Amino acid sequence: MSLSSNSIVVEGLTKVFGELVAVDHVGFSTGGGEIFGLLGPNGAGKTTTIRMLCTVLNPTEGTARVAGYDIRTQPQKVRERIGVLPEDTGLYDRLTPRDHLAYYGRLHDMPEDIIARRTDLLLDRVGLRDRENDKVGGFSKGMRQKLAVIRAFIHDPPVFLLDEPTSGLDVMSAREIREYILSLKAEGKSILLSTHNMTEAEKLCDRISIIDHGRIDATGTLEELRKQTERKTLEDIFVRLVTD
Amino acid sequence: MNLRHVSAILRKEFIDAVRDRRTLISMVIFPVVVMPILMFLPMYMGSPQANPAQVAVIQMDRTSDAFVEMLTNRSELSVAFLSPTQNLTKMVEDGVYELGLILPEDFTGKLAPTNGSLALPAIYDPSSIRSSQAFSLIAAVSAAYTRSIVAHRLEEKGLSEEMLNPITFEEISVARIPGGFNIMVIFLPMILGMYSAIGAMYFVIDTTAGEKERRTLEVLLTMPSTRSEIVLGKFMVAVGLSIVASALSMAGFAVSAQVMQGVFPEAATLALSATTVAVIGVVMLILSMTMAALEMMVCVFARSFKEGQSYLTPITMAVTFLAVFLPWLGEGAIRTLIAAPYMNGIVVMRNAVLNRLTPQDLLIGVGTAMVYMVVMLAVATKVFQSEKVLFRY
Repeated sequence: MSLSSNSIVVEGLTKVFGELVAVDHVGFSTGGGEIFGLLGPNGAGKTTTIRMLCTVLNPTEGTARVAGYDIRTQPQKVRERIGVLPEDTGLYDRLTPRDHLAYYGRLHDMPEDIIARRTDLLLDRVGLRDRENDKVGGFSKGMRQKLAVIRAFIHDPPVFLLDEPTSGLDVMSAREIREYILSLKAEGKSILLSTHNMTEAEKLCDRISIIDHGRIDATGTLEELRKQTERKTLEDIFVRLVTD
Repeated sequence: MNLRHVSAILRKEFIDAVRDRRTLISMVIFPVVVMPILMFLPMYMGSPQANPAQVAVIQMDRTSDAFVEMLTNRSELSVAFLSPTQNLTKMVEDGVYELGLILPEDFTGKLAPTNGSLALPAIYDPSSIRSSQAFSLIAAVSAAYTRSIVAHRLEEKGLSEEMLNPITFEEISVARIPGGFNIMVIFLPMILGMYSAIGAMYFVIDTTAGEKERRTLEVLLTMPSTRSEIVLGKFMVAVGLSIVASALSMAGFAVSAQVMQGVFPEAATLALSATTVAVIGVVMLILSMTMAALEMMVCVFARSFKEGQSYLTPITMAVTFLAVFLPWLGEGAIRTLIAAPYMNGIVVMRNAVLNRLTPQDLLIGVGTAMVYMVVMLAVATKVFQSEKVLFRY
């Protein structure tokens, strides 16, 4: 995998919290126009991996290059080029959707006129335009999640790190978000998606790494994983790999 | 340092703060409404000038008219006359009156020189401040009446009243403000010091521990802004809010002082020179910065708003107590505090208000306050860099 402006290359990434090895020498790579899934049970190390890739946590060992920049030595360059959706939406209840997008746009050094234009576009795209000046505190979970998703897109980054993007959403909201993620893939963005939802992984991901206890058990396309495990469904593949 | 990032954080934090009711209550309602009421109400309630003591008198005959006239002439006393059949003790016990006084028959005759002292039955409750105040006022009237009798008797014998006071004092005041003891001098540095600690307290908890609890901090950390820029943006808003709270508290204080002056015309006023106001302004800025940095440093360890509140409450209480105790210390002890953290600012403000601030005190007080502020801010920034602290593992 070349170190292009929209690639993620992870090598021996490790994170130790005291006695706990949360991520143990994880390695994978993904490029533009690909949705790469990190599939694992709760506590497998998915969120910690994403936190290291978005430079919130420092790796204990190993490193990664995100959008061509090293997460250890060029964290700011990395942060300029990623759109992150954390596990929790992380929204300010007293701010409106427009306030949120303006805030994060300014932190990405975007000019005010571009922020305004992108805000209109994104709010229209997720159907939040009519609530643009309402405080987020009164929003439903689905509306909050949609806003958190478009917050990650405000600066139109080449790489997306999405942690459980449809977690807790109703069918319709989850579907809308998935369609949006697929549209990003079509635009040639590189997307790392962490999930424990088999259906979602099956529907969205081009390649998948099964992660458990901080280690990657297998990586490949769904077809490759089927061959490797001699199981048909992703759920069976997953169970086989994590129980081995 | 990218100032656009700092400005974006500052702008967002300001909007978030002004929409937060807790911040507004601690920053506006408390200093402008609650504090003046807390200051004014006890003084009003306890002051016989504003709220005269309720005294009931049973006058057995008209021989005590001159004494009664002196009682009724005192504006601090509201005198009611009861009949001898009424139960005065019960009425004082029940709080109908704060003091009951019985003026016996043949009052003047009983005051004749051959009869010795006349003991007037005064019924009151020494455990009540208001009742004790009423007794002091009655005693003062009685002392004045006694003095007039003694003066008359001495005059009849051709003696001067001064022979009863062989020693008096010639008072030489070293106070540099008119009027000597002034309640405003006690309150002003204390309240300003307190506001440097509590003015932005809720904002600081919300913007550190609150951000962690809501998981908004994690999102912020994925932005291109550096952690120093994040700290600086938040810090600047905290300082701004603290200064606004302090300015509002001073305005509330000034209004209270004016109201009190109207109610208690004899109460001392406090006129501050432009230099004193400037010194107070500089010290308040430094103290607010120090306290904001300290509070941010402490709160960033907390996982939730509630936890942050538990961390900060003892700190703000401690600094408030330190400020409250200052007036009870001697000048020598106060001088030793001129380089102590936080107290240096309070001492400089107190000395400025008392018009006794020396250039040396100003230099040491402000200089050390700036050093503490820089250290606190550096530590707060350092703590914010630590993922162990931010994610508490």
